[in-house]
Amino acid sequence: MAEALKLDKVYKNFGALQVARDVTLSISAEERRVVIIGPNGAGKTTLFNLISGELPVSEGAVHLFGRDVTRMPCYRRTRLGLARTFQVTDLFPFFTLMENLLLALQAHDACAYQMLRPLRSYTHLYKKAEKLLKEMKLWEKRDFSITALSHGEMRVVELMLGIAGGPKILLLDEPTAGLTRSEAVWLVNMIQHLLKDVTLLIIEHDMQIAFTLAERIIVLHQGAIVADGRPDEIRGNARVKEIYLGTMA
Amino acid sequence: MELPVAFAQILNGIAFGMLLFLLAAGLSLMFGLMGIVNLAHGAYFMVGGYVGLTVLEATDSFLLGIAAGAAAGALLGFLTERFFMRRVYGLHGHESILLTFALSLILSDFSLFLWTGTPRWVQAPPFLDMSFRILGNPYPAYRLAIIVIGAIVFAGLYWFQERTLWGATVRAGVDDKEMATGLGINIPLVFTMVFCLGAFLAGFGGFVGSPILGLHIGLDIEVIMLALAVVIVGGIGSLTGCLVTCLLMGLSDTLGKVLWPSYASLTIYLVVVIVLLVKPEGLFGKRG
Amino acid sequence: MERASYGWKSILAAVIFAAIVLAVPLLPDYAVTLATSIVIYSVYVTSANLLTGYTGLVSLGQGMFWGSAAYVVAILTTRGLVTNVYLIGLICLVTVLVLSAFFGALALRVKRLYFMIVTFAFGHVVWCIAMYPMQSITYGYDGIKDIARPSLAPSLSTTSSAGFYYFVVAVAAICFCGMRFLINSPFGHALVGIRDNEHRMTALGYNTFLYKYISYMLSAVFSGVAGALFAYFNGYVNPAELHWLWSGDALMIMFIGGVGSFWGPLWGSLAYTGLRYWISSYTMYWFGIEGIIFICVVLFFRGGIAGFVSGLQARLTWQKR
Repeated sequence: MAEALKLDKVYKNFGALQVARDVTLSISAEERRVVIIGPNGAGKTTLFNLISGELPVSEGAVHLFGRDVTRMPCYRRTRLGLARTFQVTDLFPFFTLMENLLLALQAHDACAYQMLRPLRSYTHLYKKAEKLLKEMKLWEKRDFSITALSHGEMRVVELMLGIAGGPKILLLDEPTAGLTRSEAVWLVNMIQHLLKDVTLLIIEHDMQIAFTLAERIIVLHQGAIVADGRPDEIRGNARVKEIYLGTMA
Repeated sequence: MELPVAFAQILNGIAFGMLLFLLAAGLSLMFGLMGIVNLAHGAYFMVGGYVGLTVLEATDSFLLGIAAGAAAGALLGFLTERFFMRRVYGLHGHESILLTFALSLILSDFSLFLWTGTPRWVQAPPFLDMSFRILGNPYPAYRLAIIVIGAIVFAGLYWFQERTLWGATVRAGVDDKEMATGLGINIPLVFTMVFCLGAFLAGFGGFVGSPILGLHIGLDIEVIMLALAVVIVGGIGSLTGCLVTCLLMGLSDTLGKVLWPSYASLTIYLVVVIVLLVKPEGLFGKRG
Repeated sequence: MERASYGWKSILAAVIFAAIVLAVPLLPDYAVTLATSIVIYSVYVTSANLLTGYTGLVSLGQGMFWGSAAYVVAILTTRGLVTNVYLIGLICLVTVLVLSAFFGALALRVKRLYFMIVTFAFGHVVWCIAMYPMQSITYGYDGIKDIARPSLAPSLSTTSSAGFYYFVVAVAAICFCGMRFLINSPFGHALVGIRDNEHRMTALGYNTFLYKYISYMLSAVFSGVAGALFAYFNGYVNPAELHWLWSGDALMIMFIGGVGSFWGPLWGSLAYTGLRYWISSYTMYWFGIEGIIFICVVLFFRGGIAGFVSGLQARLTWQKR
């Protein structure tokens, strides 16, 4: 069984503050939906930052598809098949929707450094963009300035930027943040439908969504993993209940 | 070089470094707190000097000249912050840099208009117009006074930063603006204060330094370049680091000019390049 | 991002523009000279536009490349070392690429805000070197004079103002075309992405350092081309060409013309040269006035001239973005 992601005794300190403690976990390439939950300040986004390379680890190792990426900068980890989305929508404000998507698509393409031929001539990129936009029901708005979209739509674009490069493992940081109930349900369906072949690591605050989506749940508390197992195991875990004080579904 | 001469040069370097400190402290604080590189800072220095000179000539009082120069600096700082910088906070960084650059051009031409292009020399005040014997050679008392003044200013700033509430506020702002605002600290007021304080020091330094550096059009450009070099080499975030760097740079520049005159100000910038190679965030800077 | 549209209106505008450009030598000599300097400056400011407007890196070191190329031309021509203008051009190119490769690798190590100060320091180092250690070659403050105009072919010399003007226009046209390709290409698209959200770009898999590095070197090339043209144009080169104040001017001109807009540098150079010529005949305080103009532009005309023009265009045709 190939390992998609492995964290080995990872610690992260900011001076005296320890935001990640002895984090050891392993996710195989066959796994599909791993959800990370935990109270505020548990260190979930920090964990993502350590995995994606935005934050260097203080101790320990990170392995991606069998390779030690602990010292690798962010962009090189992406090249290996990792992608992530952000909790706070982080798009390109002066571009249109289409242009935002093209940026994500061209990153992994041979034409990324091309300086002479115009971007418009790379029709294969436009076709990929069209396919994705139509699936996400945003094709009509492709030429809108990104700031003209609603918050919910921008959240969808945030997801698209993560998917566009065809990653093998995708980190989704609270993908449904700020969405209405129906938007969230729609997005979750999209995720399940579109990303059947991608290993997903999802940070989720909404317990209902978390337990519906997850095949495996990891619970973080104060920077350490306190539980890791199937949803039904987690549901019955006394320590987890204690942490959440009965807010679980 | 014989020892007495060398020692005198070292003292010169330290005195120059102190003058640099008056300039660089404000610049460094503005940069650290607001992310603004104030290219007009050198102009505050120069205008402060000129204003002080005018007052000195009118009243024959060196002390009044100091007060006037410092006040002129503070006023310029206030006007800059209030009417120009406020409009461009939060935009791309280059607006503020270019605004201050434009401002320095305006102030420079304004000074040319008011005080003409003839270089001026300021006499040290009568009560300091003497020399002490150091290692057998006479050394001007005024330069020693500069060193003392610089040390006092440093001590004052340090006390202000570490021991007072205002100082803590500024430090909080440098560390985390949003958090500080969340705690109810009036960030705009803090910004204005910091600007005024920095400019005050610059104007003060301009007049206090005039017996040594003189006053001429183009002084603003010379000093801002040195101050910027200090900020790169020293990094930001540490007052002590700023002082040490200023003394270092003052010494390099003075000794460099004496030992290798054909290379003049090159020495300082070579230091800059080397520091960048080895420690990009500055000798005393903090990473991230 | 600019879109190319080839409707009849654009073609007409292009034809009129070309006609105006080509007809300039019909004007009196001083106007041709002015126009030549405008075109040269616009290439120089384009380099600042590429690095600052499109990539988001504010540099006070562009003058270093303009000046270095100018000095290369000056030294090689006045000493008769190289007479072939194409070879001189090649040497300028190599000089500028070597300088930018070295300084760029260092300057890009620091955070964006520091970058400006660092490029300024580097520019100053080069100025100091030209002034002092290399004084025997560069003649320090006196500068180098009597730079002869180049001859492009055995019978094609550029000593006349019209001839030189066409030469400059031809070179500038090549530069602007190159810039156009660059901006519309995937590389150009990525540069703007880096300008607006570098953090996301690294997350998407872009090696942003490499992009910025290449952009820095390309912008140095544009500066160098302009500087070389200037040396021939002015016939005289002195250390002011290497001074960081000239880099600051480039940024201001760029701003006045419109940051990040393709034609901004041309508008800016036009305004700057025209205003400078006109105002300097009344007063010697041109720099102070330049500062005032610039501040007004920043506070009230944020998009520069180009922004103003497209705002007019939009209102005239009721377009919505």
